[in-house]
Amino acid sequence: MIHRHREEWIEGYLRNELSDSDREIFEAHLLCCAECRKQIADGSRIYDSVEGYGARTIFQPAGKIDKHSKKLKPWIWFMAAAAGAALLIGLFLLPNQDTPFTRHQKVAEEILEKEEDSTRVTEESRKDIPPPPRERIANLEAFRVNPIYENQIGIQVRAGTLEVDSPLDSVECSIGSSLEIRYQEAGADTLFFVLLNNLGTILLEEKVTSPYSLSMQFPEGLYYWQLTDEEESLHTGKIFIR
Amino acid sequence: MKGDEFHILLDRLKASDAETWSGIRSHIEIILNSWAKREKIELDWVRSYEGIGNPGSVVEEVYSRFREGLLSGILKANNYSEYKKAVFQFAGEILKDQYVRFNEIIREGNNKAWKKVHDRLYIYAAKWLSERKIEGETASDIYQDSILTLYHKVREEELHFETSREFKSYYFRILEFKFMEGSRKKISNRQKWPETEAGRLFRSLQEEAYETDDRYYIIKEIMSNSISREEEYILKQYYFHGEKLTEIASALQISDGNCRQKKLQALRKIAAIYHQTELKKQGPQ
Repeated sequence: MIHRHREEWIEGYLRNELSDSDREIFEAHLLCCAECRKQIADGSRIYDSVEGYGARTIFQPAGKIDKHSKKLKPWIWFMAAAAGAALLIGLFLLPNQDTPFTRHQKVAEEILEKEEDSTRVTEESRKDIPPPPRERIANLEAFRVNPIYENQIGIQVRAGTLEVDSPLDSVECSIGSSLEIRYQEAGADTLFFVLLNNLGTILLEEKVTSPYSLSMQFPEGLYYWQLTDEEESLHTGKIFIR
Repeated sequence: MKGDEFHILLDRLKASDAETWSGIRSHIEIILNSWAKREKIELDWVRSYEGIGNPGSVVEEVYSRFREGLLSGILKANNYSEYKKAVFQFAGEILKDQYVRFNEIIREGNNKAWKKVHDRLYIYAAKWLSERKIEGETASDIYQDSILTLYHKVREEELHFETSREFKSYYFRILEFKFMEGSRKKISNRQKWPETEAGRLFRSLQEEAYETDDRYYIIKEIMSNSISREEEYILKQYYFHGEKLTEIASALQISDGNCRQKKLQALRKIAAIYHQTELKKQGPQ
């Protein structure tokens, strides 16, 4: 264990980025190094705090002041003010207008706005989406797997309540062919069949009763399907249309 | 760890050397926490005969069993791997037994148990939604819908989960469903918990968390007053969003070294303020 790299080892360990063998070495080292153990404990506390802080900022309505804000003890204000003053001195050295950070923020905000607009699919806009041109069909992007849905394939949410006979978890079909949906559900007879493209955009959502036949009028690509009830997705599979 | 080193340690442990035992206690805590994070297991979602666990209760019990076993001669830990094997075996047994009891009180609607669940799921949901660029009111509404659905499902359908990992996996399916639902049907901008039993419970849990979590207020003040926006951005991207420093540096158009330096600088400020907080809590010596 070389201590000049201590910070890297500790960061790697806290973020779970060490390889199995490195983790073994580091954990064995921790057994006899009190200083590293202390730094792990401190780092872990900061990690948890920033996690909690990050979560609250995500749920905080934009531009709203934290209504639960409570009065801090004066000494914390003092500490914060002292550190702030040190920071102010540093700030004089920085350009006060368009810093790389603010530029980055502006670009990020613009991208986010555009992405939001393009991913928001309403009932009306869905009807207006033209089929992609032929040249894009050949694009491998259409077959790129989506890890969110991939991870759900083959997992039964409530084992025993839903048995899907068709389609299989992974199925290949051609454009215009029909897809049979056949299942047995112990609870409700009616479920929803949701078809998504590999980006997660919903292309179709139909109330289905087993058996049900669906015409696959979609361009070439990888698609995911889900059988859902009114509250959760119960079964996920994928379809390759070639 | 070399065999000789472990034997020296073992001799100290058998001689009941307090400092060595304290080191073992903190080592067990570190390796168990890291293991739990990797395996996506919640160490404090447990219930022993003494009550609902806290983050240290499983660690404490593993430590006690190890200490008792070693000192009585029942446990053989002649080398580092045997020591680790024993620690994880104890942890596995304790979690298996105590999570089942935790699950029972979850189904019964125990407020303290649901607080544990809410406190963790709140953070996971925030990360999950933020990765999908959902924030603010929409994120809050999706989280509300998802946790309320989870509460009803677990209580009404008496769902049983063997591990905290299974429970979370089930929750994420609901969260994902609510997220999808939010993108296809515009969910109402509620922002308020509904006036139902579950709604009142989660509202009070959230308010309680805001009121009692000093650590949050300290970090919030540090983030707002003691470090620059750039440093705050680096910390959030690094610790919350899990980005790599090179990615953050490239986004900020600064060098990797500069980014690392800024992160260290921010961490030092936080550590200094935390240190002061602890000294103040301990009072005059």
